Amino acid sequence: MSIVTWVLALAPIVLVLVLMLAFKVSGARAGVIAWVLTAAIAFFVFHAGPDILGAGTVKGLWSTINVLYIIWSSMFLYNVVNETGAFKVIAAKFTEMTNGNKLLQLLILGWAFPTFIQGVCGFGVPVAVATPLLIGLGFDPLMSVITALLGHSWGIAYGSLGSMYGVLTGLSNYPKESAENLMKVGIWGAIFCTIGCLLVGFCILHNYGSKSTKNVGKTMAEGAIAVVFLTAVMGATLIGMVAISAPTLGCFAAGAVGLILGTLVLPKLPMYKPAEGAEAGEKTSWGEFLKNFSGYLILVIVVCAIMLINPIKTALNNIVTLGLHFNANQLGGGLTYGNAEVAKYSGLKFFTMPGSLILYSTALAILCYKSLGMMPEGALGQAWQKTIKQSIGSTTTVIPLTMMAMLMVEAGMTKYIAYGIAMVVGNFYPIFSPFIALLGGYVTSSGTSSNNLFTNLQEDVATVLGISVPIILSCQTAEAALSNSFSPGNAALGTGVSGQSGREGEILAATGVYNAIQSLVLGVVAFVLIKMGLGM
Amino acid sequence: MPKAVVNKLLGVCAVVVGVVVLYVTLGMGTTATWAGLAVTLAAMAFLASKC
Repeated sequence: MSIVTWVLALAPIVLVLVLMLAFKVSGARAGVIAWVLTAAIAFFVFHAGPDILGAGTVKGLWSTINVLYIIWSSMFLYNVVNETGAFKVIAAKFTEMTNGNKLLQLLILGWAFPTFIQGVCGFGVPVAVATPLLIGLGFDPLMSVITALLGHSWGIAYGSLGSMYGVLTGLSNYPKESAENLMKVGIWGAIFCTIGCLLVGFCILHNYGSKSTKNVGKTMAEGAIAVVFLTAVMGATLIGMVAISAPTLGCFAAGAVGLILGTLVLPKLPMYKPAEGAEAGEKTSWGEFLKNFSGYLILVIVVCAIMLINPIKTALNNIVTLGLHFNANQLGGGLTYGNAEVAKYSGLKFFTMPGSLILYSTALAILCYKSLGMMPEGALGQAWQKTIKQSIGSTTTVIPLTMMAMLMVEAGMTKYIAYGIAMVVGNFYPIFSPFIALLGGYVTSSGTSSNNLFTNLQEDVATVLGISVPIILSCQTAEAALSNSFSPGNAALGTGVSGQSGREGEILAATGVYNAIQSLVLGVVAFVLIKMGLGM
Repeated sequence: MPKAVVNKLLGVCAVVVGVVVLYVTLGMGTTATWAGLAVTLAAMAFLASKC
């Protein structure tokens, strides 16, 4: 391990951040430049041959298909709903339900609602669904993207029906040793995610205060009770679901409880009631609201039906799985790192892919709106034209950035960075453990992939240092989940669905700071708990 | 369709073609894979010039 090699391995990530944040270079150009630099470092420093450079690049493009499918389909759904004029009615009803309190609307629709969606279907869908709704309610587009990115992130560790949790417990040895160990990992993970949930709530308030109300202190003070309330009900639900051995439904249940109690209880609290004498807005009937909201209701029903009813999911999954074959490869120059042969890399189950679910829902929504007489002449053509214009920018950003990231993974550069950190920090490792998870999430734009990359590393280091394995694994999975708000791929997804292409740097600048704080807090909590002798 | 959007679509198409060529060359020997990487590099440069 050499410091020069470690710095060079980190260079592409730093270059992307510098180009996008400091020089305002477009995500596409920054990605292309970083891909070239990654290839050069992989070849000259890590002795990667053309087979590794080629495989990493192809895997990168293949990995974008899922994200791009979500961006294009969700943007189309949004534009279809928008063409009917439904957002005016939806906004009016939410305004009425929340006493016109923008802060409550933001927290319920930008935090509890995406958590609920994340419970059944992750991979960017919560951001793609919640962001347009917030914009439709009149929130600033960029602020809406950041809110949805933050809002859905904390639950990812137990979201998507537990896919990320499955990777964590599947890869590490500790939970396999006994049922008690498995429960320890689950409970500590849920506790760390709940801490993440609280941090996310305050980050959303801070973001809203700094970007919209321009009074951070007042916004934070006003929203503190709501944040604590939602954290308490969602966190307790998550921990409870894990305790009854149902971690796969943890995020889904937490989001549902947060959504229901947030809507029913928070507007009734004295501090969120309208001031006396304030004029009540125009009433919107529930029938009118449901008619206009039907596009997104159909999405929730379709997603739940396919993901929760196992026979339907299995039948659709079995129709076709698309994947590419890759041979095993090995770094040269005496280095031992290599990648195994894969028959179907990142197999895409086409009929249950999130993009497909959104597309089915869009088709049903079109039929529904047409039958209700809400679709104007030529609306579909208009919606498609707008979708192309809004989605192409993020497409050009996602592709090169993901190609760069997968090339780093294929050449072993990402693991080299993580092992370097682990070797240097020694007993202070718990503080740095979440930053390793953050690195994985940033590079791959996926909490699951971060767990794939670093679960073994985190467990190995904890075992060697003789510290709590479940706490370190919990740090890994909690921050890997939170890091979804700070990754170029997800930022591009957010700008894509909000029509803000080219502003990815501004999103990363904000979520980068929030993620650094979240990682530090989780790390310090882990360090203190381990010093207290807990989690052994 | 605005010209900027068309240019970006062309850039994306170029990268997709470049990477498909690269995938085909994987496993065909070192020289072929280098050629595939050169095609991909050209496509990426084209994409960057259009964005």
